[in-house]
Amino acid sequence: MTRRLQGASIRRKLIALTLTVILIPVFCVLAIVGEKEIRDIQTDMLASSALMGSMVAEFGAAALAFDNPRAAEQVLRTLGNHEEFLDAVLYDLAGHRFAAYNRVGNIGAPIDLVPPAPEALVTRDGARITVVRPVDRNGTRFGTIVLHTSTAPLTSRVRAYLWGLVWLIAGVLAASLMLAWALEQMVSRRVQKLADVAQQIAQREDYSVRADDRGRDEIALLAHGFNAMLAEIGRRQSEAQQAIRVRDEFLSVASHELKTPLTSLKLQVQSLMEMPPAIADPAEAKRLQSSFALTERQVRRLERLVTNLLDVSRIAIGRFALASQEVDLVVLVKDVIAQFSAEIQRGGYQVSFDLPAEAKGQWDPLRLEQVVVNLVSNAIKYGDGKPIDIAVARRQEQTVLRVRDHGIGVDLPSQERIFERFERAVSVNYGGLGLGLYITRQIVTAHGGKISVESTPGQGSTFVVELPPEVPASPASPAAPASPASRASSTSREGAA
Amino acid sequence: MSRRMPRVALPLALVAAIAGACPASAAADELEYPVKAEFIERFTRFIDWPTQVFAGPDAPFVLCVVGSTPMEAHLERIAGRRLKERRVELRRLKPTADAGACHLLFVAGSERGHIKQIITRLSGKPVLTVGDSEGFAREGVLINLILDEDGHVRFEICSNELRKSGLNVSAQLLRLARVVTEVQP
Repeated sequence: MTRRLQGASIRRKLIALTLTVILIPVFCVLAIVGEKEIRDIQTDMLASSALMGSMVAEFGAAALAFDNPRAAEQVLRTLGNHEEFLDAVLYDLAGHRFAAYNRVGNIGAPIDLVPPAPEALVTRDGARITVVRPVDRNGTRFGTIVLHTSTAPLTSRVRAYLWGLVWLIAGVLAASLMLAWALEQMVSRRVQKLADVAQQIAQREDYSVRADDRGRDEIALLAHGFNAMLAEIGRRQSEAQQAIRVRDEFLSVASHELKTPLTSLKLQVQSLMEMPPAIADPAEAKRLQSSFALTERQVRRLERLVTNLLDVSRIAIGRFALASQEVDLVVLVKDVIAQFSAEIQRGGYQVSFDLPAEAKGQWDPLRLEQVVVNLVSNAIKYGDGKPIDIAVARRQEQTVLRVRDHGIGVDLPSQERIFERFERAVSVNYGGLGLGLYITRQIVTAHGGKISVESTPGQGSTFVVELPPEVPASPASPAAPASPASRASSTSREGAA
Repeated sequence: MSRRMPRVALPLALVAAIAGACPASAAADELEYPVKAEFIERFTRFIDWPTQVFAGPDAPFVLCVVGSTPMEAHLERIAGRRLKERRVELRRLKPTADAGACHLLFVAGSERGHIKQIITRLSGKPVLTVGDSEGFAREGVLINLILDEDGHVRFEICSNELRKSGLNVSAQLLRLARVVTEVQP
C-alpha cells in the first residue's frame, strides 16, 4: 500500500491525503455519535414503555381499588395515543383480567393469570417490549399491569437516523472530493504543467518555450527559476551555434583561399623540377634538385592539410558526396604504400603485408584512398620505427582492412575521442590538425562501414576498417554518422544543421 | 348473562382476602355493606389530610359515625385496622355533637333531618364526610356511596364542599366519581 502510494502521482497523493484527513475524523465522530444516538433511542424506547406502565399503575390503581373496570379501560385507552403501544391488560390481585385494551389486530392470546411481579419489570423480546408492574397505592397493592409495546417505531427511527448518517457521509464525501479536486487544481495540475514543459523541451530541444510562472507560491518560484535556466540555456546555445557557424565559415573560406595559391605553387615546383638544371656544377645541381624535392614534399604535405580542412568544411555543411565505382582495395593499398615509400625508408619501417589476390567492391576510389593514406600515415607518424602490418581480408560479405603499428598506442579514454574533429591522443611533438581520423570515419561511415581501434599504450594500435561490398542505397549522411557520437560531435552536428 | 353477580363478587374476593370473612357464595345484597366499608377504607388511601389535623405522630385516626346504620358492624371491622398508618378510634356521635375532631364522619341515612346542621358546622373543615343515602352529596356530604343500575357500588363527590374542606383528593378518585354540586339554599 505504502509502496503503491509512493509510486503514485502527486495528484493521487493529494486526493488520498485530503480524503484521509477529512474522512477518518468524520467517520470516527459519526460512528461515536451514531452509536450513542442509537443507544439513546433504545433507552428512550424502554423508558417510554416503562413510563406507560407507571402511568397505568398510577391511574389504574383507583379504578382497581373502587372496582371500576370502565374507568380502567379509559385509562388503558389513553395508551393508544402512543404509536409503539400494542396491548395492555390490568389484572386484579387474584390474577383475573380486570380491564384490557389493544390496538386492533395487535393483541396476542389473552393472558388470564400473570406471575406476581414484586417489582417493575421491563423486558425486550425481539420486536416486543413487555412491561409488568404492580399496581399499588400507599403500600397497598391492588393488582398488576401487563403491557406490550412494539419496537417497530424504534427500528424505523433508527433506520431513519442511519439513513440520515448515510446522506451526511455522502455529503461529506462529495464535499471532500470537491476540496481534493480544488487542491489538485491548485497544486498538482500546475506541477504537471511544469513537468509537461520540461518534457517538451527534452523532446524537441526547443528552449524558447516558457513555463507558466504566475502566482507567488513555491511552484511559481520553481517555474520562474526554470524559465531563467531556459533563458540562459537558450542564450548559450545560440552563442555556441553562432561560434560554430563562424568557425565553419572561416574553415570553408580559409581552406578554399589556401587551396588556390597552393595548387599553383605545386605546379610551379613540379615544372621547376622537370626543367634541366641551369647550373653547370653537378654538385650544386644535385643540391638544388634535393632542395626542390624537399619543397615538393612540403607542398604536398601542405596540400594534404588544406584538403583535409576542405573536407571537414564540406562535411560540416553536408556537401560530401561519394562517387562509387569498382575498386580493388589490394591495388589501392599497394599504390598508397608506393606513395609513402620515401617516408617508409626514411623512418626505417618494416612493412609486412597479408593481402589476398584481390578485394573488389563498389566504393569511391578517391575517398577510400584517403582512408588508406590516413591510416598508413598515422602508422608511420606514431609507429616509432617499429614494424607495420597491413592486412586485407574478406569476412563474409565485409571487406576488412587492418593497419597495425607497434608504436606509442592510444589509451582507452582517448580511443573514441580520436575520431572527433581536432582531437588527438597526443599533441606534443606530433604535427597536424587532428582531422585525419575524423575524415576517415566520416568516409567509412558514408560507405556504410565501421572503423574501430584496438590499442595498448606503448605497444601500438590496430585500426580496423570494415566495408560492405557496396555503398548502401541510402547512405548514412556524413553529417549524421550511424555510429554513436559523443556530445562534442552532437554539438558539431547542431552547429552544421 | 348476569353482570351483577361477577361484578359484586369481585370486590367480595378482595374483602374476603383482607378480612377473612364472608363466604363467596353470599347473596349480592349482603355484600353491599362490606363493599361500602371497604370503599371507605380505600378512600383514605386516595385522600390526604392536612398534617395539623393530627395532634402528633401517635395521634389516632378518628372515625366517627352519626346515626344508626347497617354499616356500623363493618366500620368496626375497618376500625380494627390502621388508617393513614395510624391507629383508628371509632366514635359514635349524636347528631348535635361537634364533629370537628373527627377525620372521617359517616353520616347514616337516619340523619337526613340533621344533615344541613352537620354540614354547615363542618363546612371548610378537613373532615371527610361520607354518606350512603340518596341525595346526600347535593346536601354537601363530601362523598356519597351509591349503587348504579347494575348494582355496582359507585360514589358521588360534592366538588365545592370538597374544595373548601382543605382535603387533598387524588385526581384518580375524582375521575371515578360522579361529581355533583351542593345545592345552595
